[in-house]
Amino acid sequence: MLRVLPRLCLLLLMVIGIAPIIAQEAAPASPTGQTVMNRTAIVYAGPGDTFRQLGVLRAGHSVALVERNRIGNWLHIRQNDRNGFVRLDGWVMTGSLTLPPEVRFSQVPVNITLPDADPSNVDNALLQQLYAVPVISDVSDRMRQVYRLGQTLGMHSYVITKVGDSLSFNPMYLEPMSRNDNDLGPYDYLADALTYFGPSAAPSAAASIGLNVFSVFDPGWKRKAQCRANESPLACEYRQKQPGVAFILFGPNDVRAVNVDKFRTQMQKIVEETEQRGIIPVLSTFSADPNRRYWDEAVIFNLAIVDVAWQYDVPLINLWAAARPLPDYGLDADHVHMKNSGFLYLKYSTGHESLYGTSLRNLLSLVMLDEILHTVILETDG
Amino acid sequence: MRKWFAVGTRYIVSLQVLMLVLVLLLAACAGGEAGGGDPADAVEKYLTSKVAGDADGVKALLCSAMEADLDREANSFAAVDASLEGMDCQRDGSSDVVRCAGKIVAVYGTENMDFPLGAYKVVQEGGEWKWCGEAG
Repeated sequence: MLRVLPRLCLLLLMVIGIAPIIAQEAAPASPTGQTVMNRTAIVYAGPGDTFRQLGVLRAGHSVALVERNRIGNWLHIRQNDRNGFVRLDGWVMTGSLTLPPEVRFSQVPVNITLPDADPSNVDNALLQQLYAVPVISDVSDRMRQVYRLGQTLGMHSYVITKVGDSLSFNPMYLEPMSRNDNDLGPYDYLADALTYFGPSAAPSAAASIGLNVFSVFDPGWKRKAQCRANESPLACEYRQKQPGVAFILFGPNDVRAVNVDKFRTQMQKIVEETEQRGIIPVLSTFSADPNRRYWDEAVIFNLAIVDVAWQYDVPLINLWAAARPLPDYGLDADHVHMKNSGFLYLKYSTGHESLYGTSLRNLLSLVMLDEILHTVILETDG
Repeated sequence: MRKWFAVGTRYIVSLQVLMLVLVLLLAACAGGEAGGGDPADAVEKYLTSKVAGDADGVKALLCSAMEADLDREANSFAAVDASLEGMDCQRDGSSDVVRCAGKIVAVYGTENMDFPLGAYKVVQEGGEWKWCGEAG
């Protein structure tokens, strides 16, 4: 018996040691710990609402955080049953989780293999095309040439501006980046971009209520106190600020008044005028409500924006696709403008990017700025 | 009698021709030294057409140097409800500049935007005054 006892003890130790390994295989441990659903949410097979629906999680359900998408606005979660086996394994919008304050997306693994959408689940060919466009495009090597040109022409790499209609005129778009009380929440990886570009965010002479792709070139629309005779709002803004990056969004006004061919031509002119000055143009699609008038036009105009972005190889934010899962498509009660959170500063610790269109647009703009900072400015400047 | 009638008819016809020539001369003189109407009137008509999005009206009064800007000028206020308020344009002496008081009011939803009118350059083409952009 005395001879057997050590063997039994060894066996017992082995069992104790192996047990956690067995449990891990049943339900892999989360790299970032447990978190709780703050609302009912559909779980998808990928980071977007076009992926297959796997199930529903309700408020209060505890889940493990596995990884995030490139932006961080979708999270891969896993829910286990009482026995520790995986019950549900899929993706939810970040805002549907109450993340522990210590969660930092710079520490969360990034899934770079899954696309932003699965267009094969969409039954309309035009919508398939639009969904297939990444939410944040890559920044091409060409933009380094534009950046270098800008440096020779005296543009300020850290200055950003906005060009567009009332959606861009909105003081809650970009301008809050200049505040010093912003709350990035888990999006800590965007701190560098916010620090670098944020202080320059200010109202723009080239962003006005009612502006369209024609009037942005019309000296009659300029702010007379700031601009010169015969100077367009666009030229005036670029001369005054000498920015390195311009966020350009047109369409919501134009769908009501301009045909798509003229719209495309004017967008090309805007991109050309921007690039010629050594300013990186960032185009954006716009959100629309499928239950409202001009929905069909909005889809076609958005595809024209994508065409122009691809033709000139300029950065593109697919706001249309990113805003689709938001309540009311991220739009306000007028179904045209993006909804503001009501906070004067950026607040991402409570999932505003999953609720309000303007919060989402600011987030995506920051992600694009982060991309430009690291792949263009820092790479070029060494 | 017949002879007197023939002479009288000839006299009346000559008088009519003379009056017609006089009328034409007067009309030409009324056009001023420029010979194409009032440049201030041309600017007012141009601005009215632009605000209304009347492409034909804009085209008729836009100078040839700005032909490439026709689409821009005709579509600039397409996304808003625009109107002119208190427009009063006067030629600046005998120069090619017309100065306008008043403003364009553009309404978008519940928002109003004012664009004060200013000084505009005019040129004569084909005997007509044309709007040719802002005066520097």
